[in-house]
Amino acid sequence: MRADPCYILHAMRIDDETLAARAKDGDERAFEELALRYAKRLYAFCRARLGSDEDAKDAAQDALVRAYRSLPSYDSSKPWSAWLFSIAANRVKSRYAASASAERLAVKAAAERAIADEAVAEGSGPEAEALRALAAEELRSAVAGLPASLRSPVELYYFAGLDVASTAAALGLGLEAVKSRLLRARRRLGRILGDTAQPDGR
Amino acid sequence: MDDRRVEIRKAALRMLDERDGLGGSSPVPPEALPFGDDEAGRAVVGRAMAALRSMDGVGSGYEGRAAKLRGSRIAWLAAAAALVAVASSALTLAFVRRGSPAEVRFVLEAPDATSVWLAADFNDWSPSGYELEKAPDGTWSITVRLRRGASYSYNFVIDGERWVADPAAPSGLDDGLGGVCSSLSL
Repeated sequence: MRADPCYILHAMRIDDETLAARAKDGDERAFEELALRYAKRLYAFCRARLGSDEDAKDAAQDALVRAYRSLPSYDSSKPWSAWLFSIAANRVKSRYAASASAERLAVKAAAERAIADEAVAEGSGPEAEALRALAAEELRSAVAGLPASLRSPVELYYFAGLDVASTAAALGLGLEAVKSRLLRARRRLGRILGDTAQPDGR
Repeated sequence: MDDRRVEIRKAALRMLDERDGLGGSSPVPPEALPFGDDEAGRAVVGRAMAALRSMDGVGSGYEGRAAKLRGSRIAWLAAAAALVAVASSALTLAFVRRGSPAEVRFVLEAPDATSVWLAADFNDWSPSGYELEKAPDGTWSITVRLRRGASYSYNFVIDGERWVADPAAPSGLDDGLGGVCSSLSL
């Protein structure tokens, strides 16, 4: 049986930038492997910003398609993750920002919390998993209330799981600026989520 | 606040702590991402690759795509050359010709850059096909045909990774992501 070329690329663990250079030369399998490596992060990032599962899938798909079509502009000496997420951030901005108003996000978060609560009440899933899903929604809702300058680093660092350097590069910011924003955001989130006296944490 | 909500908020804080505990110098391994969803990720890749195959004929051979890219690039360069030939001003956003549609010249001074691209809402924020040409004095420019009576947002992409607003643009907008994009109304 012939091994799937994508599996071979995965097993060899070729670095992102080499794969991206191959993709730029027209190697579709290399691009697919890169997409698989980053799809979960992309989805998590888009989900954090857009608040809906379907919107997040659409946006993440859109970012991958756009990345593929923009490969001629990619410089393979630069980090792939930062490049990909700068496209994702701009895709979210361009196509979805208007519809992802704070009000809409709050309504969605509330609706998803209600669904998750129902799941717990009905005992349809393991308690720990359900609590995690509710906590993730709570966190998304808290992050949606942050100023844009703090929100984007949080979405890339905490939700997409990028390192600080890639977060900075994706946002076109310096390392120190991102560290400072992350610290400020973390403090604010700590206050919002740690304040249990008011429903909104204010 | 009821006990359940308090418990949820504490769990949310623990998720942040887990990320902080991994340190900022390396990415979180995909399997440890607290907010990810493997199934959703796979679905996204499947949908993206299907969309690409239907749009570009991806999968019919790499050579085919490479040839297509070369072809579109040559076509673009020819078009760009024609537009640049009629450009008469080096001023940012100078109108080359009155009427509708309008031809707009975007100019950026970036002598140290190795490449500059234009990403805007009129090209769906995809810089592909919108590479600026460098002049001997270190300025980069591209002329784009746009419609009058509309507003546009744009950024320059330097060396394929730095998204910057136009320093000479009449106005800038908060891009909703902590950055600024330039705005232009025709």
